Amino acid sequence: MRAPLHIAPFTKTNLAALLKVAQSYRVLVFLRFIIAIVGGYAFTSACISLLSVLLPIAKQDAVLLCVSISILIYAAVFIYAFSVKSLKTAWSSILLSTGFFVAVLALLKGWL
Amino acid sequence: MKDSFFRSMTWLHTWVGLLTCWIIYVIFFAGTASFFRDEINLRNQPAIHNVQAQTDRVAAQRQQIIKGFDYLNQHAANSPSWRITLPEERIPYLVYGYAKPKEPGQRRSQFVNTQLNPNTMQALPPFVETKGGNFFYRLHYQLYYLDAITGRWVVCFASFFMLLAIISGVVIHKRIFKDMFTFRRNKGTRSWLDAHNLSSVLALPFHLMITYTGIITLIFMLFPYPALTTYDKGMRGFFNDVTPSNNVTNNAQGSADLLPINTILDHVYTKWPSADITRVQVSKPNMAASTVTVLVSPAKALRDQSPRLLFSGATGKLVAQTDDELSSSKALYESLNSMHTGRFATPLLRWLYVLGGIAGCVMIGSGCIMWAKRIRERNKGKASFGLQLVEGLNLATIMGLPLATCAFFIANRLLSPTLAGRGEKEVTAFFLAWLVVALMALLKRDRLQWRVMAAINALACLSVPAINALTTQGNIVSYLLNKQWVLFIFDAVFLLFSILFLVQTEKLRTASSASKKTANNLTNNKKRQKHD
Amino acid sequence: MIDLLSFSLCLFAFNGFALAKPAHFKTVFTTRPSKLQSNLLLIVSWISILLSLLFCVVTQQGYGALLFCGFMGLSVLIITIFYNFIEKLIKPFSFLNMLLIGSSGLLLIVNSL
Repeated sequence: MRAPLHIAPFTKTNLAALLKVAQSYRVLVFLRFIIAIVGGYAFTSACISLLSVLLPIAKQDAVLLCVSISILIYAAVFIYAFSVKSLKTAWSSILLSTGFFVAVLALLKGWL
Repeated sequence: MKDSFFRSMTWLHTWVGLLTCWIIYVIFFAGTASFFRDEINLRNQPAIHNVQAQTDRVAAQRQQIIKGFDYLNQHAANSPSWRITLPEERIPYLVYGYAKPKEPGQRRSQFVNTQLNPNTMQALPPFVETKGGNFFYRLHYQLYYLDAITGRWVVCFASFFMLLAIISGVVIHKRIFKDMFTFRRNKGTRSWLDAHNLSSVLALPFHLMITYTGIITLIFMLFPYPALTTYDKGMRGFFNDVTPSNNVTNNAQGSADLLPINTILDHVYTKWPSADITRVQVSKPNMAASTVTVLVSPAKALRDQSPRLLFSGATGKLVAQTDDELSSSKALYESLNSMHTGRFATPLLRWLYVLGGIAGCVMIGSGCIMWAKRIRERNKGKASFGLQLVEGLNLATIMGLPLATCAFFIANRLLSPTLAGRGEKEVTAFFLAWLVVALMALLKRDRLQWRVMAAINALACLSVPAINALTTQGNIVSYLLNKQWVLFIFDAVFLLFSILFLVQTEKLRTASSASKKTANNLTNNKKRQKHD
Repeated sequence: MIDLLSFSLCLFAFNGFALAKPAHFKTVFTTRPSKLQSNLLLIVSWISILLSLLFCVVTQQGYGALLFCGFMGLSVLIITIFYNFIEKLIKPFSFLNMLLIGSSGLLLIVNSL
């Protein structure tokens, strides 16, 4: 069994492995920020657009209410993206739900 | 992300804080100054220093409006629009303004304004060109030297990260109630952590509110999508729906004399007997399609849009008005917006807002400093690029902004009143001073450099009231004697900050001499050991 | 006047919250508090702070809620300064606080009659 990285002798192979881990950690973090920032923004936009169409109140009230809670939704999605253990789950859940909102919105608005 | 929610939030708190702390510090600093926008405007404008507060401000409004209409009919009967701005609690002068016809390529027409002393109804001495409090206000939500939209997007994202930092901060602060009054002095990083926690918890409702509502003020730039999907005409359609506008007499042709404003004012006071009128706007005066809009102060109500009545100028008929009762959605949106600007705040609430703002600056600053200390400990003294960057930005931001502010106010007094573009030059002075500090931080970032900056800041803060005394008629003593409270408090605040910077200079001296002592003792002991 | 009453009630409440903690109680009274004393302090403090909130909101609605949050912040600041820098003055300070509550309350009642 190979010794764990942090106590294994500092040979060349371990250095390469260490670099790989470090690099991929950076990529993982970067990807998480992407899904949180961009994915979160897309999710929030789709969600509040759909909500403003669906809510049974006057158009201007719907728009005002939706923008007022938009940041709450965005913050919640962002924190969700950083709480989920698996990066794959974060990406798939946010993208799928955003896609679902857009699809429903498209149907309602007759874009399709 | 990590093993537990708690660990993830700890990680997130440090990272979102790190990525934006210096921008957020600037936003909080400028924002706190903006709560005194009107007062700073007043201080920068010597022409209005001696305007006394009116004894019965609201009762005098009717006459001021009538005289304004007479004046504007005389001087600008064919102007495209008039604007009468009445004195407010914090803005002591009266303005009669009219628009010059729009020149090709202009987005908005230029206004010709006559400023009057409301007590004597005489024209005030000419105003100097200065941005005053509006500079800090603009810096706060749009930054500077960036185009407007880019600046606002940067501010939005920084503020959003700030909100996340606050939320994650609350989640990870397990002992929030147990440690509420804890402040351990002289214990290095622990004291900084206590300062960070204390300033955060102390004004936690304020921090949450101001950050959330701050983003809401720019929400239509961030999320135009609800309006775009709900309205066929998009944003324009939405804005037409929410703003009371004249759809009735717009198409009337030809000219028609304006009705005496008295009739319209009677209508206003019948509807709102104790109305505190802030502005009267006339579009297309002396035309058949003219409108007269009367805007009233919402006082302590949490409303963003001033309640207003729109009348046809020619017939005096009421054509549009803001809703008397707001729908809950509209009330929510308006209260969120109004809470951020706090225009309704009386002096008591205004100072409490400022206390929150200062707590915010302490929170962010202590966070920045703790991070630098932590990197230093982790590096065991080796100066990595990351450490130099963090320490340099800390010094440049925390010690640079006060100096820049002093430079701004000193420039206002020293630049000639007739100098072309002096408003922009005052701003240049601000950024030049900041640049100087940034360059000094680039050279060195040690304790001595912090001490030097503290001393320079102490001197600069002292100079603000001193140069004021030398270049204007008044000084801090005369302001006290004449009960010119705004100017007195302004000078007093700068004196106070001068003393605080002196205290900081002293504290840094004892700290650096203490570390020198232990260093000397260590070397002396080593020398003795060698000789033994 | 109502603002003064609300603020002094808020300040009193946070003083009580601080005293309810054994460490701070010890700073003032040199002994640890009994369970009963702690609980009593907590109950009185909660009543005090809720009264403060009530007075603010009933008289000034949304504006009052903001004012109350400001009062809370200022109170925490004052209490922290006393308990960490000027412990010796806590007793006279608390006494003055109670005096302030009493006198502002009394003046309010007298003025409304």
